Amino acid sequence: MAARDRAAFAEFVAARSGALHRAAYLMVGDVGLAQDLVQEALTKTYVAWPRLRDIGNAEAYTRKAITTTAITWFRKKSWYGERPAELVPDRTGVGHDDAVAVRASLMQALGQLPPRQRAVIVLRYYEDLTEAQAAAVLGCAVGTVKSQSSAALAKLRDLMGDELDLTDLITEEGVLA
Amino acid sequence: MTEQLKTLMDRAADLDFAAIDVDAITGAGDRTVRRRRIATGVAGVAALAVVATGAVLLGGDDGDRKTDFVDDRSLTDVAIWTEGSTLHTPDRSWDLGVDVATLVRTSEGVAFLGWDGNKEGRFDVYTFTGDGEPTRIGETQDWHLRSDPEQPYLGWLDGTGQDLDAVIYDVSRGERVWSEPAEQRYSFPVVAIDGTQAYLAGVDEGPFQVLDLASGDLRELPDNEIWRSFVAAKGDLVARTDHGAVEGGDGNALVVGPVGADPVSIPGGAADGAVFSPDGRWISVFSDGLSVHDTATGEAVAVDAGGYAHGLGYDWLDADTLLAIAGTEAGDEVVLFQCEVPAGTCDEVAPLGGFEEGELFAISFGESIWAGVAEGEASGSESVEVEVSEVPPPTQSSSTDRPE
Repeated sequence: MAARDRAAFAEFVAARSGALHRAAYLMVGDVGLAQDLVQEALTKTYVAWPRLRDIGNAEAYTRKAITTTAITWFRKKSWYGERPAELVPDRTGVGHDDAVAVRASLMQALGQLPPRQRAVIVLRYYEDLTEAQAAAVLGCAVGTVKSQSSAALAKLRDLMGDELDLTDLITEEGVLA
Repeated sequence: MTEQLKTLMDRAADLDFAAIDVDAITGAGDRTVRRRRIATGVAGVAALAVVATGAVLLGGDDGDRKTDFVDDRSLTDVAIWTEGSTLHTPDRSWDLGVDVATLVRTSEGVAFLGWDGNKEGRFDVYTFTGDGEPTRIGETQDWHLRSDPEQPYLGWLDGTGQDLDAVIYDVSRGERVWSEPAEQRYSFPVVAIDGTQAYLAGVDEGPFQVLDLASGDLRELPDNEIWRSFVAAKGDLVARTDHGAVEGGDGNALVVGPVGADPVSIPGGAADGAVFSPDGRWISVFSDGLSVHDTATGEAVAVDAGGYAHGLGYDWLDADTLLAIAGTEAGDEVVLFQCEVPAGTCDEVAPLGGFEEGELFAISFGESIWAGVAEGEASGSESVEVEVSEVPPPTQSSSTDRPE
């Protein structure tokens, strides 16, 4: 990866774009925005390609770009507490399959988290990053990841109630009062 | 129905996404690289051509001797730059013995990354006082150096050993004064050095710690917007990207002020970086052209570098003297200027050549601004492509376009 090798970059994109899109979607809650987010992050990755030296670094770099860019978007437009209208499901609506309704509830609940807490949830419990790895991606201290994670889990528990089993995570992480 | 969080997220994200247009991404990326190269004045430098042809010297110096420095003035009181392995001031030249990729000033002279052409992607870290030979003090695969020209400290990401370490070195004492294992290979933990304060980050974003290099005290910074959007610091002043926190701001500008006070907005959109004058009165913003502002009012200072399309004021020689490079739109002419602020007048120091002349250049900027040539352009030599174009890592302040 010493040079800006288009073929290698294209191979990386083909292999990892699905996973990157899914993480981005969980961060922003909208398919179109997720696609834009991934495209922007991959552009940064391509620019940085000669520095990254191996595919593992490229993925870590892209993940970091997705996360920080998503947080920036949310901050910039004060999206905290707002969600695109199409994402707000009618949880009690007739005709919704239970599973679909629960997934929609999750996206709604995630959308109510502050951007950094939302990112922590995705990084820790979807991407399976350690606290230290999540801290590295977010550019914050490990203690911040712990506190943000705890607060986020508490809020998710409150928002989703019995629809979501967080017992193991809350037992493991503790929850802020 | 009760579901686990991981399972639920897996299912929620199990959607169809449009295929990625790789050509669009690479095209946008290439444009970004070109823009940065033009903005910083140098591009397309043929590293191997230098190896094949030897250093090109200015000012009539024959280049085969390492001139002792005997003037009363410090080497770094004047404009400095390198061309190949040759270090220049307006009046003198020194052959450093190795091609220079990155150059900074310290209170003790210069520090630079030398590339000997045989170690792909690896640079040696040197200091040079103007007297005798350069001193090799480390090795790195990263092309950043951090310093404060008025201090003896130098920061880099050292790769001498098995693992990478973030290092701060005291040139006057000839020893490392601080080092920590680097968390990620692509990160650059020493964000800035201002006086005796080193701003540190675990990854390449805003700093979260400040190390006092005089006392050794390490202070945690609050996890807030000020430090996440950090651009530069000088004394009590911090420059950062405005994410809409400033009343009346456009959310896409640089703001400057002491921590805890209302900042001043610097008009002109987001910046890739900025550098304060030594007394903090002025700030030069890295944007599409020369952009200097009063830090107390935000008011722009008109600086005329002869009508070039692009420019970058990158280093302050003293409280009112700014070093800048400016070039033509096509990049076929790049000139080093010395500009007086607030008068706004600029004098040409030296031409830095053009993009196609096949030389390495470095200015006291702390980052490399040259790139390798494609295979085949350096006839008679084994081609090794080396590309070290200026590529900042992704930061929270770097995205400004979405969503609307």
